[in-house]
Amino acid sequence: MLELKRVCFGVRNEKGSKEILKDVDLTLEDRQFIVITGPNGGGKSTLAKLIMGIERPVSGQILFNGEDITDWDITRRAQAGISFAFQQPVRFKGITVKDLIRLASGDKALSTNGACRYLSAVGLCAADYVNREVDASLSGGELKRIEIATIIARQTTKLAVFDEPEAGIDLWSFHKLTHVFEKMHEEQRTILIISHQERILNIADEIVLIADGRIQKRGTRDAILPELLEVTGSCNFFKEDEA
Amino acid sequence: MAKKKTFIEDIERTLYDIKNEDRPVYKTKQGLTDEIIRDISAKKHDPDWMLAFRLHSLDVYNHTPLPVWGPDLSELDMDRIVTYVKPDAKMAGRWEDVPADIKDTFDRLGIPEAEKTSLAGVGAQYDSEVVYHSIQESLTRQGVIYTDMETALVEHEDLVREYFMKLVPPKDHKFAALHGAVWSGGSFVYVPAGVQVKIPLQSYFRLNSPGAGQFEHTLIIVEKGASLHFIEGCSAPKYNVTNLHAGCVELYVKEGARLRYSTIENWSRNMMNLNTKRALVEKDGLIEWVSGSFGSHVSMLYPCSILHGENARCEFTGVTFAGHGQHLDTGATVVHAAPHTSANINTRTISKDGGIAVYRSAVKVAPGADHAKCSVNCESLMLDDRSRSDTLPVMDIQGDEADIGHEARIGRISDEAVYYLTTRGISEDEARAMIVRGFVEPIAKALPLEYAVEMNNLINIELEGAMG
Ligand SMILES: Nc1ncnc2c1ncn2[C@@H]1O[C@H](COP(=O)(O)OP(=O)(O)OP(=O)(O)O)[C@@H](O)[C@H]1O
Ligand SMILES: [Mg+2]
Repeated sequence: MLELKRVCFGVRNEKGSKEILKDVDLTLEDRQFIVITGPNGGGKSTLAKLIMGIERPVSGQILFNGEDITDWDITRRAQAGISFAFQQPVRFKGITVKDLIRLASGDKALSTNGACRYLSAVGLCAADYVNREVDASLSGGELKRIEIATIIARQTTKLAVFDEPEAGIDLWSFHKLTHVFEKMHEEQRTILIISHQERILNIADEIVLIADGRIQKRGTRDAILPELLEVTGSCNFFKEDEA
Repeated sequence: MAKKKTFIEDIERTLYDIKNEDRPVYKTKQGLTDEIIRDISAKKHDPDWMLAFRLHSLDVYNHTPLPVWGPDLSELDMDRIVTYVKPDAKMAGRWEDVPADIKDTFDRLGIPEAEKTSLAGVGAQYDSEVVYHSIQESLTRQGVIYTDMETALVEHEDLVREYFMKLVPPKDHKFAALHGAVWSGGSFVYVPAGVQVKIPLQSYFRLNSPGAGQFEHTLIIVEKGASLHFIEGCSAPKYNVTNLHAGCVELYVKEGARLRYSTIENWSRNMMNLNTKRALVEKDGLIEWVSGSFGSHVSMLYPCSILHGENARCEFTGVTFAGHGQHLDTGATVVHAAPHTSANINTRTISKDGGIAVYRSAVKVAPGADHAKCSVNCESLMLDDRSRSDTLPVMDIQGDEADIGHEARIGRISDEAVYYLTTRGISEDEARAMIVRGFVEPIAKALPLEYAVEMNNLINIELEGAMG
């Protein structure tokens, strides 16, 4: 359903150019559940942004359901069914949680109750949040959960990309969040999650390891997990959470 | 231009731009001379003192230089402005009696409809004269006066003479002097002591004649313990000659009285809007301003509140949006002239496509005006890096124990914010509109619903840049 072909991405600044992703080939089948992991700065978020259209590849091709979407803008990709939960969601003054959920759902008339359902799904006490502005007053974890709620609200999603959904979310709540992803998966969606959390690696069909701008490994959890520790060189990196 | 789908309603942007044939019964010559002033005065059957006042104002005008700050006014050539255009219509008390094309114009602007549903009185001015006026009888029975200035000058000459241009004297600045010389039309409202006018009154000013000036005078007196909500609207179609608007608004809020004065000025891109508005607030009185500035080529507008009596209060809420080719210099002034006076200024300015939107606030606390309290919150948003928004606060604090807070923020819409919203399936334009609506939300909240809708529409029109 999604295919990246020899995708390269880099940036140019005063100090010259920097390659961030090199010759990335990645294929996702319909209804697969893939987790991308790897060390900080490896290029994971960049890859997600390329899929969403926030960044454009320097070279290479991106296909979605057989169509070449390399030149499509963000809006068109979103309308085609790609959804993206940001690693760091943007805060807005004067826009409420309900506004954002409504926008994401594509249903201008979505009721407050409707919006609340999505908030409850991520463990937020909906009534406390639905009319709040998504401004600086929300905590980091609250903002991330709202972000996930907006993706759940996008009923037209075919491919959902989550960038480190666990970041800032307490372990107890996170345990419940894994059910959200499993449920989306059961609803016939293709899921791509960028994560450092073993709990998420455990529920994936396959794990992709990205480091130094390249795909280093891809395989099932059992095949990849032992090697992960070698690549990262840190035994604590994937410590199992205690929740 | 192809219709674009917007996240909220589609906008009827042609609404404000329909031109009627210019067929006045009388028009002065272009320019500004003694003879022209005498001519206007004679046509309007002024009393002698008013003619003298006009001539004095002209003299002040001729001896007053242009302001040395603010937008460039060199484009304004008074020799080419027609200062008085008498429409081919007598003032009517029934819409049926207003000439069809003029009535259509006000119909399109929704005035007769609003009159039926949400207003207690309406005045409609077309070019230099008021063509329609009404007020609910229940108000007249309580002694409320709402009429055009010309009628007021005949029927309530003493009141007019006592208050007219006492708050904004001709020597205030060049365009106040101009106004004193050529004023025509406008509204006179008198609310007797203790009377609460619960439903708003609205005057609408439409300038149709190309190359003309509109100089309406608004004089409102709200007596002790009385209250009023007064709304003004204005618009004009676009011409390729300069039009001038130099109105003057004088608001007298007496002891314990409340006045809410709302205007959304929506001019066309050939308009120079040099408007003066001032309120004098006595003990325990409250003035609430809602001020929207849209559309004009140049604006200079700084409503001023003089808090003259103890505990007098001012609430000011303003929005200014400058697009391509616009330089809108707007703001608010508060003078704390008595102890325990308080003011709240809350403004948003937006600029786009190279537009310049400047917000000036001036707060003065006079000696002896102790324990004054003033909070100013000005925020500016630039939609691209060609545009300019600025907030320029000036403070002059001489009273003791003043509590003055000032918060100014200038920001630009970030690409990241726009991208973020587009990942939810809307276009970049819609994303920007959503961010701008969020930005002005605190202002929209302060407006009555139908004006919040109008403001939203105007913002959308400006965002699409189609009024051009
Ligand atoms: N616009 C940019 N300009 C310069 N460098 C960039 C830019 N965008 C990304 N990078 C660099 O590219 C590399 C990959 O960044 P990316 O955000 O994709 O990493 P990541 O794998 O998501 O890391 P993390 O686990 O910390 O989220 C980093 O070294 C980052 O500094
Ligand atoms: Mg990242």
